[in-house]
Amino acid sequence: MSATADGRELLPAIGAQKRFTDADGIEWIVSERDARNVPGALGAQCLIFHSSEAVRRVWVYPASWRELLTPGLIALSWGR
Amino acid sequence: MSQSKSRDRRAPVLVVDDNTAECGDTVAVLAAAGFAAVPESEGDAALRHARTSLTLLLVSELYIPCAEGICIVAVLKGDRARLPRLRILVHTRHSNDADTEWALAAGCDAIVYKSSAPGTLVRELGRLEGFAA
Repeated sequence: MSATADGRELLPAIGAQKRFTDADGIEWIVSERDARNVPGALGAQCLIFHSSEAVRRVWVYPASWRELLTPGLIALSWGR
Repeated sequence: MSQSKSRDRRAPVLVVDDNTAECGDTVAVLAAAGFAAVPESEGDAALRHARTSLTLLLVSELYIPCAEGICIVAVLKGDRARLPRLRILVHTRHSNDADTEWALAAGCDAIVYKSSAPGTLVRELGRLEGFAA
């Protein structure tokens, strides 16, 4: 999930993404995105948590989020 | 705790979906969880409703008549002066990457695919409810 059908990347990814599996066995992909052009943006970047069932946007997160283990990433995905 | 919460009155939710059956299903699921869900089938009416009632929670399909869902998301999320606490969840049958990308670029706070279990919608809207309060 990074581009439209015509290949345009609306929210450019920043760095590498991470994957984890939650307690229900659902796999999530986490990516940091450039959000400067997003209406109502609460910051210049955000995290996008994407699974086969749902997507969460998180605005408040530590710069070291990639160092978090699965429990930390799960907790972060519930954040603001 | 969750049972008690489901019986309590929760935040009002504007549900925007032109598919009458799916809109009704969504309203029923949210009502069962304690949300006061109000259905709306057209985009321009949804925009008026959100602005006049200062809606805090909005659930919308992506493709609806008279102002598409993506337009609704972008316009309302961009109106932070009037709707600073508004949280928008896109509830859609369109789960392809392109539509997901468009919804995120428009500013939605979360997406739930209609193919997911009904509990997923309640769970994810509950997450946003905490931020809108």
